[in-house]
Amino acid sequence: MKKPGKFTIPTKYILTFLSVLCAGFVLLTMINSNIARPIREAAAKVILPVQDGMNHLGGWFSDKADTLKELADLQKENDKLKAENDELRMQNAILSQWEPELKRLRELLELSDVYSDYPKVAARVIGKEPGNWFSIFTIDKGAKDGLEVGMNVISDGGLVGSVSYVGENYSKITAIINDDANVSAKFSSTSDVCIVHGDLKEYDSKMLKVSDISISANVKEGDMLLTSHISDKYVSGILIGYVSGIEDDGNKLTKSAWVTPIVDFSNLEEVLVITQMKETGKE
Amino acid sequence: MLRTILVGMLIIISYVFQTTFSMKMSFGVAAPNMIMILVCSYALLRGKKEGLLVGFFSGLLIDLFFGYYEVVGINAFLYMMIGYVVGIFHDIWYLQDILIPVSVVAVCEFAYNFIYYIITFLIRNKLDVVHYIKTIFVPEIVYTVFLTVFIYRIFMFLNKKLEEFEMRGKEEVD
Repeated sequence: MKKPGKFTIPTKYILTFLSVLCAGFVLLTMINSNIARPIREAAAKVILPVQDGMNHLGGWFSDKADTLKELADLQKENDKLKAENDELRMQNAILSQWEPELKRLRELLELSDVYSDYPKVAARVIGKEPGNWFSIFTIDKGAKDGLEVGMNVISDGGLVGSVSYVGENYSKITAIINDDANVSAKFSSTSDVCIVHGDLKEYDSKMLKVSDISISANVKEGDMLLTSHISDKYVSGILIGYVSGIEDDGNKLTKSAWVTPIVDFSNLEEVLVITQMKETGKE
Repeated sequence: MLRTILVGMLIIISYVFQTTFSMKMSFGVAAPNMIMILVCSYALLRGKKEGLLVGFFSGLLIDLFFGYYEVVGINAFLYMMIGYVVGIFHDIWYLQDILIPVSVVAVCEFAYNFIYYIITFLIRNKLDVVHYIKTIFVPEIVYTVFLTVFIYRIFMFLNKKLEEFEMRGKEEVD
């Protein structure tokens, strides 16, 4: 296939050269990942518009597929929601009685409204890590919109994860179900602190493992898990999920549990980024 | 020249397809690996030199956006090696038979995932390889192989048209 009269570089030289280049890249980016930033931004300029178009196309297709599928399920879901709505209305009535009292007591203690209304930015999920090993997503907001690494991301009223990389026009979020993600959490009923681990293996059953619960903690199935006040990464009071199974570790010190997250990670479309960072006291 | 532009577009489209549709198509746990199909098909159709170049740039794209802990170069190297090794068989096999790309993709998928597992999971003491083979490797390979049957034919058609076009161009120059 060689064209006569035209100079070509032998394949093995290209292979060697590119292998060395790869090794160099790996070493450099291991030391400082910011080195690759200019290339990354340049690539993003090409990829993001294409991705945007594809997203609209994909959204259109999945909408069509969903309408067909959902019609059957809607009735069932509607009934379920009605029942839930009644229950919630009653709960709301009880809770709203307490609100003035809470407000008065807070004022008395000079505590600010800790959980309410973090400033948020809405973003659209535009891509997922191409393999099946990690749960890392890209969203269409970046440094331009004031995002920073470490900001918390929520969706459907539950914790999704945190921002792990910020580009000019896009950012990456690492989900709490990502293998190696850890979230410091607490039980809403007892304020016992624990750790929620993301683990690919556990997540096959759509659950996350919770460890380091004190043996004396009076927790039961169905309890709410929130992000804890001692976490240095997550702002406190964001709902993670509900406990669905508790187990003794057998060491007379700790218990483990499983939690079903609120967020449906296989169907993430829009997320909210909380632009307020956790104040940790260190600069 | 036309080939370079077209291949560049194919790489971008495969990448975008994979990152976008892997979250939209939620009918299973695993998503198919379009980039693997592209690299393997292209290497089979065009040989090791172009195979390794396509592999390198596809892998680089993955690394730039989704590198493990922002490290760039791992995927680029893995896909480049796949492109090179598969490309060796370009001259040996009869390429009309669809079984060849299908089995090549299956083997490469397994090899790639296994190495990626070692780099990203085994190193962190996640030892249950059998479980991961069942839940990640097998579904991904099945989906990918299924798609290969269709996509390989498209690539083969494109390649044929391009080769005809290039031949014509050369004749005109002569």
